[in-house]
Amino acid sequence: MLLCKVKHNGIIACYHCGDYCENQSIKVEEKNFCCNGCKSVYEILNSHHLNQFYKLETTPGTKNHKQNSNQYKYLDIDEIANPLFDFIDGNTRVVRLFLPSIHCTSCIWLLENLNKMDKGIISSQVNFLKKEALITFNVDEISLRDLAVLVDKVGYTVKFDSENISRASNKSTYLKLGLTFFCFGNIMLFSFPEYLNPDETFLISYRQFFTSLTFVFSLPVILYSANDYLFSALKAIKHKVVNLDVPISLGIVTLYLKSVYDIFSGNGPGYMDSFAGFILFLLIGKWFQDKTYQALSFDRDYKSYFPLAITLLIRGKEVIKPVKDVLVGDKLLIKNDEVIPADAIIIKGEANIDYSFVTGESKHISKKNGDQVYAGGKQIGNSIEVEVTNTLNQSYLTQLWNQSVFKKEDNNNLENINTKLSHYFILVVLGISLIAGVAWSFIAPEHIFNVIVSVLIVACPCALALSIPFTFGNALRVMGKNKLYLKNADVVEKLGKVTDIVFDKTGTLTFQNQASIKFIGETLQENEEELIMSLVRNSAHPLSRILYDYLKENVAFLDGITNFKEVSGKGICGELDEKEIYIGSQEWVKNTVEPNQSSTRIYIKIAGDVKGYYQIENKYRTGFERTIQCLNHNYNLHVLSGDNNNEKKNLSTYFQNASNIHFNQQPIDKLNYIKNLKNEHNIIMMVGDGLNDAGALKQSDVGIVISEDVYNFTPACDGILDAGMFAKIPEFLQFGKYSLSVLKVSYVISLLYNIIGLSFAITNQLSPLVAAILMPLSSVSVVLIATVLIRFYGNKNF
Amino acid sequence: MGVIYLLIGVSVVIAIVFLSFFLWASKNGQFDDDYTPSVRILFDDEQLKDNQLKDNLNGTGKV
Repeated sequence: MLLCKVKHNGIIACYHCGDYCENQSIKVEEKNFCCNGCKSVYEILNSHHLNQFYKLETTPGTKNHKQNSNQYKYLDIDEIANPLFDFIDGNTRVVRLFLPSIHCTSCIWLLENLNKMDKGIISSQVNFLKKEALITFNVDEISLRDLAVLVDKVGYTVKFDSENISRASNKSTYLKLGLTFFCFGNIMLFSFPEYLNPDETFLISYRQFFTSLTFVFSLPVILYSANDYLFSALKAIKHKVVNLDVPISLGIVTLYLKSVYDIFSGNGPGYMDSFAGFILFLLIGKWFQDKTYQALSFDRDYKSYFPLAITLLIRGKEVIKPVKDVLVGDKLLIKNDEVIPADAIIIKGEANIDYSFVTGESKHISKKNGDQVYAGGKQIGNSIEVEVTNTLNQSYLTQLWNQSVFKKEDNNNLENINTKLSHYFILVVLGISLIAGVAWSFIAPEHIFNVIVSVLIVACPCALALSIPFTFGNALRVMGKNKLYLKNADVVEKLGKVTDIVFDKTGTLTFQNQASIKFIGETLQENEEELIMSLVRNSAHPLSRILYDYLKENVAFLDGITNFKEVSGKGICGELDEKEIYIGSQEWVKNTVEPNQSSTRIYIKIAGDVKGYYQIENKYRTGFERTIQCLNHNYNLHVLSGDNNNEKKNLSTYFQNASNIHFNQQPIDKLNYIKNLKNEHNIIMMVGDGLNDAGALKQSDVGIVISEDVYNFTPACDGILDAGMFAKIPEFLQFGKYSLSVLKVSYVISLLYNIIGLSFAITNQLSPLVAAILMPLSSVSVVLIATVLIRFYGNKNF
Repeated sequence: MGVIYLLIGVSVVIAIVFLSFFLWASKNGQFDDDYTPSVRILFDDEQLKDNQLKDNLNGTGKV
């Protein structure tokens, strides 16, 4: 058996998660682990005879950084827990857990064997695509909270979004598709003799029977399968607009009525085969287009960013309460990495608040007793106590959501290509049938009715209707493969039409969690770096951690620090090697304060000598330069940053039009900026990441969110882009344009078929057989061409 | 040739039976997850071994 996975370059990989083992002393039975977290997961699994987990795939685990048993405390409150259950009967509960870190076969196996770990768990079933586990358990044996803690302990963080409770499934699409396919098959069977020899005596004597059967089988199709199209067309006509469903429905209805008339008047077999095939193709197209990324959520509002419950302090005691019950005057305890749920005043502790997600400001803000903090900030560091001054709904930062953009369901008035085409299409079709009718009134007036009906039937834009689902549906899949997950296929079209791109800075153009560090001052000796690193190693302050992580790449730490002191909000000091070292703010190190200091700096003083400072800056994403260069040619680029303007000079060198770079933008400013751009008839793509971009994302035509982990909270948007693919943005846009051209090609092809069909129709030669051949032929060729062109390009260019 | 009515009648009935199976299956969520079952079926069935193990620990199992 393979005991530990040794990579070819000799680095030892963690048996659990596959990470590099920095410390080789964490070992169990000759298996190496990168950290104690991984080791403990292994031990838990081992003690429950669940070793199979490691045999199904190598290093299947995920690294679990934070272990906080209080994290799920809120699940003890019935008010929060009860809506989470799918089913309650006596002491049996069924709960659906959303586990974003499900990623492999081993995960499925482990989660489905949870019942071996606790006898309270009756069964569990994983839905891999939705990243969900449906767990049945006995509430007397294990509480929901303990269940969540158990699942978390083996490496799967449990998420409860307020809205992930009900996710729509696409049952009715399958139902419709299956039923239509059934009817289509049977109708084809009974129509088949007609194709061979319509004049055979056998057929003539049974024709009435066969056609009646086709009529019976056509009923579910017209009454159930086709109703989406018919209703949509009716709605459009009521609103005095024309969409593609109008010509489709016109064709369907004429086709159907004509067939019914033929069948009951004994005129002929009718076109029921074409009719059913037609609906079947349309439904297949719809099913193909409706691909959704089931585990992703594109419609979250700010509420799902905030915690479900918070820790309330009542007479010094900690009480967990649902966040919506927080009242003005309540005292809250905010722990490390927790989000402040309401505007509040600090009453105890040193706050170091990260507002980057809500304001775009990248620098952490230090606050002291009595200072105001706003909802949405994340406390980094020790716990603080705050008193609520404003509830969440009235909070300063969430006022953005009272904007009208968020009230409207869909504010996209961008006319899509189909609507435009449908207008002309229906006019041309009606025109042709009129002309044909007039012409036939001179040639043979008894055929007028027949000709007009034939024209309406054959002009039905079936292939046209399939062009969009298969072009954009395929494009959607290609992009999904390359980690741009779009909300629906319509976004592809808009992507191809974009003229302006607006970027957010913090977290979008720059890395979310990585900083670039530069030392400014006299060059440090290696020995001096060792001293600094040894000192910051003792501090838990976020800046110290950043500096430590940066320095540990190069130097090792020394032992023997004496007189170590940490003054919060200022810095640290200590003695080592008989040298006094000061690290921290300018005030702490130099006793001077320089106003308007724009960047984050850590000053260093060794043995009374100020060496200089480390400057911590945002690091631009990999491929940033190339991406902007590519985009400069074809698009107007804008930058809207909530941050201060110390990056202005740097950014201006990359962007063609420096006047489009704006700093200190409030969320509402961003929204208005997009609104103004839109008024100039530009089509705007907004690329952002945080809540501060939510308004702009919603206002823009295409809102793309960049996320390091696509299952994490993302504001409402049209697409989610994996942060690693940032450099591919030009390719995605190019691909959007290409998809539009493919669509045009397939439009031309389907129109060609319509013209061929019309030539049969106006000469009164449209037999059921011709219709039955032409319709599938045009549909299949459009589907093939769209698929091949899109897939080929996708494989070549990504 | 009258038998054709019977034959077609029977075939339609059988077809409708299959259709109702499909409708039943899709209403029961058979198509909700089209990936996980394909993985699940490949897992080795260890149930027996583990039960024996537990039984052994409890001292009730047959060795």
